[in-house]
Order: sequence, then structure tokens, then C-alpha cells
Amino acid sequence: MSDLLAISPLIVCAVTGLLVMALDLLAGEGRKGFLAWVTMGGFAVAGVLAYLLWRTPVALTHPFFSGVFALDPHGWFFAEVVLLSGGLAALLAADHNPEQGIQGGETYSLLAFSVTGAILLVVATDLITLFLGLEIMSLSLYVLAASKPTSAFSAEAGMKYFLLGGVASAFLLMGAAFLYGATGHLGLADIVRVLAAKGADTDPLLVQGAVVLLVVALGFKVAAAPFHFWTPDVYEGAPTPITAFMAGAVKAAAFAVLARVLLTLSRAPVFTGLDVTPGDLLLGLSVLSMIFGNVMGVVQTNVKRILAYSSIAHAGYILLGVWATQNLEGTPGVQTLNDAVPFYLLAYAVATVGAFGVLALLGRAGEEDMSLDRIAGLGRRHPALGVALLVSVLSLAGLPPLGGFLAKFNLFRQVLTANPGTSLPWVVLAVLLSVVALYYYLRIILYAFFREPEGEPVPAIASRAGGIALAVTVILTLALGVAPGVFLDASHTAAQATVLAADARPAPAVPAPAASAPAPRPRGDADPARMLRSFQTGSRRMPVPAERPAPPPSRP
Amino acid sequence: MMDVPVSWYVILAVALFGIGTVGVFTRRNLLVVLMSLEIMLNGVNLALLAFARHHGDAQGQAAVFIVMAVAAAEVAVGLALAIALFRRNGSVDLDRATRMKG
Repeated sequence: MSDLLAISPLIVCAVTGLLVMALDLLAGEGRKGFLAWVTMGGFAVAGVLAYLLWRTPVALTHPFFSGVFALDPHGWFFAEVVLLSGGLAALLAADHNPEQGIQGGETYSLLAFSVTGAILLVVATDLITLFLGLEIMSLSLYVLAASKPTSAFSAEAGMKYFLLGGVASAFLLMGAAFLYGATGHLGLADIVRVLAAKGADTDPLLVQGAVVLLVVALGFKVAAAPFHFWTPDVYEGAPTPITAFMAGAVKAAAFAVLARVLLTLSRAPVFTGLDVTPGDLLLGLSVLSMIFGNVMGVVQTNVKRILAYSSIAHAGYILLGVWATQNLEGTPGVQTLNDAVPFYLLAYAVATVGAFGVLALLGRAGEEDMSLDRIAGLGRRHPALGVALLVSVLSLAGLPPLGGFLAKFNLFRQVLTANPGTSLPWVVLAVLLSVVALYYYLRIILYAFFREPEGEPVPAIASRAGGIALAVTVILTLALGVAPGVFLDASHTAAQATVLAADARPAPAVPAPAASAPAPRPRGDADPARMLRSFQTGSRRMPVPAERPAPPPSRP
Repeated sequence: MMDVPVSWYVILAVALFGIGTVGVFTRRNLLVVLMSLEIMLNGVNLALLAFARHHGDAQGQAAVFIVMAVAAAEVAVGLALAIALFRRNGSVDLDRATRMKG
């Protein structure tokens, strides 16, 4: 399989962005809605391609583009989450934008570019590729956040996001530079291999400094306390469909890369015997995020801000999951991502896109206030929107039988089984804080269903595209809670691939998802000799301490 | 030619990075903040170059080009946002961009 075919989802997303840009010029004023469907279609094609690649065994082992991409279940799982959130956000924007005076079609092309960056981010195994993905994703988002032309809030949100995002990117780069200095490599697997080979020889200060810098940068991106201060402002000021995308896709992508980078680095022996390990940093962020997110959310009166604090709180739960690593199957002693985390991110993304989606379909131009009073009586006046809000918010709160409940239950259970000795107090704290959070989630429901609006009620935007998006989120939220089997399997497979093989890990002998039904292999790839060859060329995963292949620039 | 040890470059790079970080968080003029951001990135570039020389490896130098390109894109977006903010606030003072609190 050629390299280009292997990254076809990325190419499709980028081309979709360019195509939408061109179509935007041709489309008349006020007729930009179809661009959302073009974008959605592009994402759907990319999603199907990603799924097919996921099921293709060769994709796992071949070092594409000198090994700067890992096209494995981890990458594809999160790529699907990103594509889903991106597609839903595009549909929501089709209804939201004209109403709010965002006339141009650039929302959709920027969204496509942002999705491209996010996918690049989750498949990257090289720190510079990772940085590129992060920047492509973020630069589009800064503009998107500021894209409401009439609103000072929106410009302010874009500016805040840009400044803090820029600082986070610089931190990430400095971390990468430190790791490069300690090892002479920029690929994660190579870095760990060299660190392991050097042993006590490496400069611990460089590596530990790098880890702290990376934790700060990625902690910012996942909106974990104490790097969360931008979150409520940006979530409030940005156009609501974009907020939905940020909360769903960006968080999932950022967590994917946080887990991959930190857990892969944790394999290096420099951290053994330290007072503060990367795991301790994660635990600290997790506890702070849970406390901040859940407690501060209680005093908010703006629904978008409440959901922003909810996003911080969820980051805390997920960090707890990232902290509680599991043993990698087949290789004792190697820790990998807790397999409850990808599922949690999926359930959270769907529910939060649904909740923000309902808000996106409310209000009219110039009215930006989304305080609790404004959604009063929503459930009675617009039953469909009310149901979508109810399902999404209760899923965020973690009530059965919705996806959020199962995700949370599964996460806490897995955290307890992974670290039986140490995790009990933290899980108890998490459960108690979830109860606190119930207050603000139920307050949204209370206002939507049991309060009458004072004054004129907020109109809902007559919609088709947005309605479809909301229906998808509701159905998925229910499906995740009621029939989660296939999603849990996918989550498990993804988590098993999170930690990059540096040395001893055998090239994945089970290319098809382990727990699910045997995947039908595409005919062309069933040839065993060809598979074997691709195993052998997978030098990235081989235990050789020899020179890595020459860096790309020197190749003709 | 006198050989300057790599550690000096790294110390200078970290110092630049630190100066940039302090600048971003203390200055109130948006343009100065953007400049501070650039100083941070240039600190990173210097570190990458120093390490590339230390290892005798071209990868770090290639990375610097990528970082420079991305930094240019970032500044373009930053200045566009600054103009958008100026149109609505009439100034690029960050203290006036505090409509949302809490």
C-alpha cells in the first residue's frame, strides 16, 4: 500500500477544505448552507477510509513516511471521533451561521482544515509532525472562534485562545527541543529507545524539563486545571457550533496525543526513582480539574459557561483514566492507556456536541446571552430540542442508561482495577464531585422544563441540518449506553496501540482488533508473504540499536 | 575559531524563552505580546539549532525551518485577530478586552 493511500483520510479532509473554499466563491450570498453538506460529505468519506485503513493489517506495521505517522487503531479511533464532531459542527453551523450574521462560507473550509490538523495530530509519532498537526488544528480554530463579525465577545474569545494557544505551542516545542537535545531524535519511539539505551547516561534535567513543558502544553489543550482559565471565556465567546467542535473534537485529539506522548515517554527509565513522576503530574492535574470544574460550575448562570466548566471537570476524570495505566497485553511490564479512556472521550464528545448543539439552534442575531433564564420553558415550546438537551445533559451528568453513565462507570471501575492500591481515594473524590456536578446539570434541566420564561421566550432556529445533527447525537448517546459492545471493543483496541513500541514490543501480531469479530481482510492484503515483508520493513518497531534510517531531507 | 560550548546556547535559548513567557503574561499591548510570543519561538529555534549541532544531525535544522514557517502563519493570524479586535474595541490594549469574566 502506498504512503499516500495510507493517509487518504487526511488528504480527503484537506481537499474538502480547498473544495469548499472554491465553491464558496461560486455560491451566491445567503446560499452557503450546502457547503455544510459538502464538508459533511468529505468527512464521511474520510471516516469510511479511516475505518477501512483501520481494518487493513498492513497499515499497522509499515513505517509510512519514514515513520512519522503511526497508522494504528489509536490514531484511527480518535480520527473517527474528530470527524464525527467536525461533521456535526458543520451541520449545526449551517443553521446557526445565517441566523447569527456569519454570512461567508469560510467556517466550513476552516473546519475542514482544523479537522485535518486534528487527524494529523492523532496519527503523529514524531514531535515536529505533532506540532504541525497541533498548529494546523489551532490556527484554524483561532479564526473560527473570532468569526462572528458583529460580536466583540467573539473577537475577544479568538484573541484569548490565540495568545494562550500560542504559548502552549511554544511550550510544546521547547519540550520537543529538550527531548531532541537529550537523544538526538524527534520521533517518540526513537527517543524512548535512545533513553533506554543510554540509561543513567542521559541528562535527567533535560528529559524531566521536557516532560513538564509537554504536560503544561497539552494540559492547556485539554483544558485541565490549572491551565483552564481560557476555557469558559473562549467557549462562551466563540460561535456555538465552534464551541461544540472545540469541546468534542479538540479535546479528544488533545487527549489522544497527551496519552500517547506521556505514556510512551514514561517507558524511559529516567523516571524510575524520581520523587515526581509524569504520572504524579497527571494525577495532580486531574484532581485540580475535577475540583475546579465541578465546584466552579455551580456558581455559573450562563449555560455555555456551565458546559465549559463541565468540560474542565470531564478533563479531570479522563486524566484520572490516563493516570491509571494498564498492562499492555502480551508484554508484561509495559503500561498502556487505560481502555476506558477512548470510550469516555467518544461518549463525552457526542454528549457535549449535543448539548452545545441545542444552544446553537437557539436565539437570533445579536443576542449572545445564553443565561439560564433564556432557556426557560424550552422543553415545552420545542419538545424536540428539549429532548436533545435532556439526553445530552444527563449523559454529561452520567445518569443511566445513557452513554455518559456507562463511560463514567467503566472508567472508574477500570481505574480501580488498574491501580487497586492507590486509586481508591481519588475515585471516591471523583464520585463525590460528580454528585456536586449533578446540581448544575439538573439546574439546566430544571430551567428548560419547569420554569416559565420571564418576558419574551427565545426563538428556536427553524432547522433541518442542525436537527439531523442533534438526532445523531441523541441516537449515539443512547446507543453508547445501551449497546456499547462494539464501541468498547474499539476503545480497547485503540488503547492497546497508544504506547509506541520502542524496543521489546513485538510487531503487533494481532493486527485485526483483538476483541471484536475477525475483520474481513481486503483481498489485496491477504498475501502472507507480503504481510511478512511489511513486518520486516517495520524498522521503527525493531529492537535494533543501530542507526535509524537517514532523515528525510538527505533522501533523493 | 573559538568553540562555544553547546550549553551556552541552550542557556541563552532558555533565557529567551523565559523572557518571552514573562512578556506574554505581563505586557498589555497586544503587539508587544505578539513579539514576546515570537521571542519564545526563537528561543526554541536556537535550542533546536544548538542541539542539532551538538548531535551533528540535520533533523533539528529542518525542524527550525518548519517552526519558522509555522510562526509566520501564527503571526499572520495574530495580526488579523488584532485588527478584528481593534475594529470592535478601538484599541489593542488587552485590558480593554475583558468583557467576559469568571
